[in-house]
Amino acid sequence: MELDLEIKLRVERMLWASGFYTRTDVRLASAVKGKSSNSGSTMDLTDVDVLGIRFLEDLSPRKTVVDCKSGKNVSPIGRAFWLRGVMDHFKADRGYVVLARTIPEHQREAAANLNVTLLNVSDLTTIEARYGELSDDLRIGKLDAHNYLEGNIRSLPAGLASLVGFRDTTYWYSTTPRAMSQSISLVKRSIGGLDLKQRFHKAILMDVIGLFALSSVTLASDLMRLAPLNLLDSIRALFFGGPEGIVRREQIIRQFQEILSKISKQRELPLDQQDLFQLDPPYLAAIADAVVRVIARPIEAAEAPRYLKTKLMHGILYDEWDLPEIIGDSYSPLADKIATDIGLAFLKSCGLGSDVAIQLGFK
Amino acid sequence: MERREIGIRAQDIQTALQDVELSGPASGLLNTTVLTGMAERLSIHIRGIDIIDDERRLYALADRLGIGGLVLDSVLSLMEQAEFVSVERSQGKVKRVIERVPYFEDIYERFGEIWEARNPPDEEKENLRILNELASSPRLVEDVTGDFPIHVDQHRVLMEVGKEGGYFAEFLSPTDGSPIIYSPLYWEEKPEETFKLVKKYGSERIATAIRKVRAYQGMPIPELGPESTEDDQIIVEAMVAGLLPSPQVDSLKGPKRFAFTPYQGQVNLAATERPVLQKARAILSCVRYGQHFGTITRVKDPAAIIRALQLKGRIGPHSEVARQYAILVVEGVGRITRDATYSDRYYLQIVDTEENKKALSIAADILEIGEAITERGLNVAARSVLFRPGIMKEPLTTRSEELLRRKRDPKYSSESIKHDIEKLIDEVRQL
Repeated sequence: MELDLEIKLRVERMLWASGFYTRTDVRLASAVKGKSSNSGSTMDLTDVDVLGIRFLEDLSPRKTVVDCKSGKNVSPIGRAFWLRGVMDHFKADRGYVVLARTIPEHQREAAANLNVTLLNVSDLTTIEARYGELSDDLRIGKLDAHNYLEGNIRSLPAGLASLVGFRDTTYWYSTTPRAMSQSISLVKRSIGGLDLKQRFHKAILMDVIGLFALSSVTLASDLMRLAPLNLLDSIRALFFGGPEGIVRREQIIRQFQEILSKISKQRELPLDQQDLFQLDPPYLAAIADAVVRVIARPIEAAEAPRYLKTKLMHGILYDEWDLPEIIGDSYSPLADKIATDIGLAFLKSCGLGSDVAIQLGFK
Repeated sequence: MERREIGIRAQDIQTALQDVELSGPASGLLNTTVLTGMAERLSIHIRGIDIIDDERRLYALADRLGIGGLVLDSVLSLMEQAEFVSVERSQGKVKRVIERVPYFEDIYERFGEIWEARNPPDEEKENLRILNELASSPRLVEDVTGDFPIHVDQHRVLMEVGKEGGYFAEFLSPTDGSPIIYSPLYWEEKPEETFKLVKKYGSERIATAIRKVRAYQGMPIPELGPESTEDDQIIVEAMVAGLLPSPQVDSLKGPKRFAFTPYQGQVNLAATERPVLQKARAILSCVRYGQHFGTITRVKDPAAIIRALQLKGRIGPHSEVARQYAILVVEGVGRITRDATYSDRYYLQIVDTEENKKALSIAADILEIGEAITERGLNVAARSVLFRPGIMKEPLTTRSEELLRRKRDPKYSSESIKHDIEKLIDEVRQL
């Protein structure tokens, strides 16, 4: 097995054991000028080996980024400075560089000043022991499950490439509301290519739902900080860049509608369909519903992305659906319920019905 | 009838019949309607609970809403059909209810849809239709013609059940003895004045005018002049006759009155509850004054003012507050306090009592119902009137030109155009 991957997966399990939602191989990219934002028009900048996101009781996010390198000629402090930049990009408060080499003591101190911890493989073993060992049956961070998922996701048909690109790259440089809207738009546009009898079609959908849940909790966190008088209005404001953003977008839509009404060539324009020309997307209410539930139960809702990932790694990949059994004593029916609520809100927003919900284990 | 109206009326009927035993010829007569109303009320009450795994508490709650243990399972099934709950059952008993009642979607619309899909008997359809008509105006009994072919005996039973539940009532004209039917749920009991109005304008025209008020609760009473419409005339006469409650607010633009439909929200409103409704109307009237007649800054979003009063307990400081909200001091809803820095500005501070909180909540409800109806009206009627003639439908060219144009025109399917527009607007959303 590739040594880098072995370390990555060990770190992933370590972060999972300490309560983080985890991702591996997150690509940092930026949109490329002159192309549509929805067609894979990005340029890769670098990638993060492991990213962990955890929400505290008040839903404040805590993020940890980890760089894993098995090479002997890697400069520990050089990686630490690089990781500091990545941490700033992700607004992460903690970073780890895990190396398969000895680390000079003075470099550990210098790195610690950057909030980066330099670890060698034996340090990693010590930290793993602190958080207790995960059950061997848990498939998160297990090599076979990881390869099974990633290998097959790479082989998905071209019609689903935008979803793969979204989970690997686009999601990670998008703002929260934009990531939510995009996830819905992309799934809606990919519906024709999704065959939910296929395991890995379900897997990519569930993975996107997990990211949507991550955004829902983040949005709830932003709203909790605002303590708004009206939640729906505040969600609108966050989605559309504040009151000025709402006005600007509404003006564009009105002008667009006006221009259309003057076009006489096409004789059957759906100008009387007012719902078509609304700035508020039809799914705004469903998102608001999900966010209200997150805010009402912050402690349980913070777990929702992890529950959805567990459903992906066990239910979708291996038909193992007994979450209380898989999660063990810490299983919370409420967290499971809120994860399901978010999943259902997403499916509803995409116009997918209860048949899909059943196939994804939401019913 | 719109689905939303079906949902709301079903809930009104179930609430009214909560303590009425439907036996004999009335047995099973309104099953779908009552079951729908039960499901709506239970949904509203359990929203936010997430998981109910204490069966006894569920039964106790249901019982308080007039949902007996024997029908609870049917009510839950209907809620499952709406996808508002998932029910786990064990050995025929409810073991756990997982709640998913939406906060921001219209539950009445959804239940109205289910009511329709269940295709209830004509008696139920007729019952709902009559109640919906009476929500706008009382009618001469002879004008309440049946849309659905039901036997005259069944019609009589419907009327009797409605009267027993208090959502239908009848009185005789003081002049010629003609019977007039109205719903105490939506109309004040003033036989003489009602009769005069019905005789003068006919129930249809009254209904049209009153619908305008219902669609915009707290509507500024129009000033009559040569350009006034008949609707304006009816609204003013109904106000003078005391049929439309119309609180007066006096501020910088002079005294103004605001019309409300006499919607009471429940049958036989207790005497102690009436002042709460009066307070709610007073609150909304003050806010409407700021919206329509504010001089320095106009209220753009009346709902935001009411929310601020609900959540913060006060609004201001503003120079017009002292006069504009003076009636709320008289009603015991609030106090006016002067700003410490700017002596010409004032706050309205809500007096923190249960009754005032309830009044604010009712004011928010009245406003919400009005707005929802107004928006629908605008979408369907006004917009299509604006865009369709001339541009879309009227033949602007001769037939030959038309044929030539057709030949030249790119002809896309309306589905593909819709798809393109959706995509473009999606992009605007994500700007």
